[in-house]
Amino acid sequence: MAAVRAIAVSLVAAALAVTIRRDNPVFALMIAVSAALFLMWTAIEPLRELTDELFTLAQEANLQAGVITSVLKCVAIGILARFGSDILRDSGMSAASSSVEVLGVAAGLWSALPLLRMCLEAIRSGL
Amino acid sequence: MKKIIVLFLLCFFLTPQAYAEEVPDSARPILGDIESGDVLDPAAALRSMGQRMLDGLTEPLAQAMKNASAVLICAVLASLGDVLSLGKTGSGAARLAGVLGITAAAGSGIGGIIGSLAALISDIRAYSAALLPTVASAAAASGAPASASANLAMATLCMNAVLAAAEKFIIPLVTVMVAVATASAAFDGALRGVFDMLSRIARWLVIGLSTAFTAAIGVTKVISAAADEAAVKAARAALTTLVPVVGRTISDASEAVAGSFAIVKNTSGVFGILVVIALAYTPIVSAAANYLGYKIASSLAQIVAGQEITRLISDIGTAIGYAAATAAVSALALFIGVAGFIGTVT
Repeated sequence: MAAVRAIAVSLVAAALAVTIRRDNPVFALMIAVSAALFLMWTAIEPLRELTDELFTLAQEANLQAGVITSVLKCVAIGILARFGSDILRDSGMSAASSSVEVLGVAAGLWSALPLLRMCLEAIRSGL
Repeated sequence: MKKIIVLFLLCFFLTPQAYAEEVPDSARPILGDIESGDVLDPAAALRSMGQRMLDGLTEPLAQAMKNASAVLICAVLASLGDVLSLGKTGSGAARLAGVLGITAAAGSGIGGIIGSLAALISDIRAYSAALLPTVASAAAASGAPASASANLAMATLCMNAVLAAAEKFIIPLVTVMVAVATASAAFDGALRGVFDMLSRIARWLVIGLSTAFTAAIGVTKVISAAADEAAVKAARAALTTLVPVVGRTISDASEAVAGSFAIVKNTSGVFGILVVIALAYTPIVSAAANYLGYKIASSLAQIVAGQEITRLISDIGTAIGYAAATAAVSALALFIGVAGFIGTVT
């Protein structure tokens, strides 16, 4: 039901934004950003349930919490960076959009560093 | 007279204990309370060992499935990152995190498996140093002096070569294979050729070591068998002709003594083989279960994850498979070495 509501809201927002873009581009952008934020908000609950389930499975599989947290952080950074980058591109700020992409990659790599350390330790202990 | 009786009793009671202490502790869970004397009824000994082996199968399988599911969770997360960022921003970072997550998740499992296989190789080295001379001495006393000494020399040499190659080269190579597989998956399969080359080297080494060991033991046995027969005939002839009056009697009695030593040789040899099986069972079954688990996880990951992630999981399984094969070859080498003594012609 939440998905249907989200799709309906996105369609209405798209129609509104397209209609008023010629007369009031700023307001159209605000509508697009608001719709995107609403959709992200809607997606938070299922994503939270998914991550909870993955954490439960990881516990059952004796997977270290640090591993799954780092991977999740990286995934979340990827999603947010894409979201920010697309909004900036929609508002015509390509340079800022590229910067957000670079920032997203850098933050993702930074959050993957503990994993790299774990891998190197595992390899070093095997040699 | 009293001193002699006490000495005899001490020898009688302390010798089995000293022999039992040579059995590594890691063999006891499968071997149970079987001692060298119990192998005179091999069916009962094997039955009780078989039951313990079946009972000991559950835990390694469960652990292997846990390791595989941990890796699978990381693969699902990595593919989730790929899908949600639609192959654009952050996709590379998400995949890198997924790849590193898979290796980190498998890391503790791989470390445990490699540690247990290295401990197995170390136990085999220690036990072979006690077992081979014991069985060789009994074989020499049972009427095969030439083949026993030749077999002992060759078995010791080959065992040392096999164990050194396994410990110093193949087991570290397996870790390098995991590292290369991770790097290859992180950089779009750029190091696939290197992984394939390492994989081929590991395969050639495992096959080469087992073939060389079997060939060396076989050739030594064939060459020295004829010398045994001649040596025993010459000794009997010398006893009969050179010792006056009782020469023939001593010669006949020596046959009975040789027969007794043959029983000792067979008993200690069969017990040694049982110990080798008990030693090798748990680490090799655990490694084999992990190999199977990672291959299954790789097949399941194909549903959601990309090619590189799937390959990485499969490659980790392959590396564990080579480690297991190396340990199995080491155990098999001792098995064949001891079996060579048991099969010595008397």
